[in-house]
Amino acid sequence: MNIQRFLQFFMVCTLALGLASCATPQNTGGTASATQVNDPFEDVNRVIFDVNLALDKVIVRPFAALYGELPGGIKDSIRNFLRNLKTPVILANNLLQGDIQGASDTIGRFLTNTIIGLGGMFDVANGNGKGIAYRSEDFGQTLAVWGTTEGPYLMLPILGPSNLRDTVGMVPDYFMDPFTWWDINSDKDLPTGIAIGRRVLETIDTRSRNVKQLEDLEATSLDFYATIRSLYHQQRENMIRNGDEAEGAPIPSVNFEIDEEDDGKAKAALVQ
Amino acid sequence: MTKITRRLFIALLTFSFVWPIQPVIAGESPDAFIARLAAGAIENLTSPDIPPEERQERFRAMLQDGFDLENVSNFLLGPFRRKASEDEINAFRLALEDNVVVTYAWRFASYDGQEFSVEGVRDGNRGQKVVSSTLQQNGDAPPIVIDWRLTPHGESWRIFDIVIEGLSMLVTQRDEYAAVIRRNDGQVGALIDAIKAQNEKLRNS
Repeated sequence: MNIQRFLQFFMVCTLALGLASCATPQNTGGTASATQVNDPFEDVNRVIFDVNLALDKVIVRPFAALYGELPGGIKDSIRNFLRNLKTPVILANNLLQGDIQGASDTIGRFLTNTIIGLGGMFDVANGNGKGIAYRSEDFGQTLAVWGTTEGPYLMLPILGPSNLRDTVGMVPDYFMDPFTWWDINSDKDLPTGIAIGRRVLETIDTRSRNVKQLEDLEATSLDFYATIRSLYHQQRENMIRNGDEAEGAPIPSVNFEIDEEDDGKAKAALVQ
Repeated sequence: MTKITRRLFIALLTFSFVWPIQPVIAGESPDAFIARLAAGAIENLTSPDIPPEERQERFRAMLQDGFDLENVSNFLLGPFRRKASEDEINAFRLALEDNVVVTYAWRFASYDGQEFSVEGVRDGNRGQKVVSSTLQQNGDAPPIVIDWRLTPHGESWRIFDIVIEGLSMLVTQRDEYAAVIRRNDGQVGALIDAIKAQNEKLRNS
């Protein structure tokens, strides 16, 4: 593993992101331009999306269906265990966002679930959904909290929907993960195998939980690509706000007088 | 001084008659409206032995009564409404109503007694109210959080948007429709044709 190359890549991406942030307008929800999406690479993205869908159909979905046959309790334990492994990355991002409450929740969950929940297999901390719920944080969200806009929408091969900000965010997340350092400092194949197995299991677990919803969505969509793009954007915005509507921007930005205002602007432009 | 005070008092008094301090208070509270609609849906739509057409027509009646279809369809068309003709706007509204009916009516058949509870009401934009609610899921899965954005309508309310776990159905639909229109050189007619074709497909499936 060549760290230097990774760091170089990271720096280039950060620079690109900085430029993109300058070039893209701030959140314009509520105005007519809310329907204009930042997707300059749409043609390429759509091709990658089709390839991803094909791969999904041939490889991921059959495994997800097989995995779906496991008893619910086992699947939940697998997910809980995988989530517990993410603690260092989540905690680092809690702290980078200045979210002390979030950091203390993350530590509390980790200790409770690791000790009482048998190494993270049981989510005791969120017993019956009434305790501290799992909340994922990543560097893409941290960048957003720091004021970075999302940049152009990107459809990544295999990994799926993203944007420039979240794609760049994957690099620090990768290096904040102790497993990465174990892998880098070890000559053996075991850590690499664990890292790959973990990603694969995460993908299969998540996919198996969405099989029906995504099938439904695809069947009822006029433009599945655009639907996924919209949902990805909304989901990320929601995660960045930590699901708190009162704190952040209103969703959706409602504007009944969209046309009137638009006309007004058009007329004003004509007068000038 | 007294004169000014008296004048001010009279002015205020007059104003309080011409200008009601609060907008017309709706007869039904937002949470009661949602609770009534949910109870009605569970009673009329969920029985598994209703024939599909019958279920669709019952759902359509609820939709026309409980949804703010006019504002919804205006919002969905967004800036493209300006370029559309009056006929196209009406055709879009009808196709949209059909689409919601064929897409969602059959889903009520799979309802299995999951508990639905209204949690609270908060203020939204422009006189809207947001009713928050939860739908329990089977098994250990956490309940689904659903927010209902309502617009005032006479003595009651109408649904403008349904936000499920932070994902707005309205925004998703608008983004999708905008993509279809944009990929067809800005023609609203192309979107209407696409929705109609999809309605046929879903009706026969």
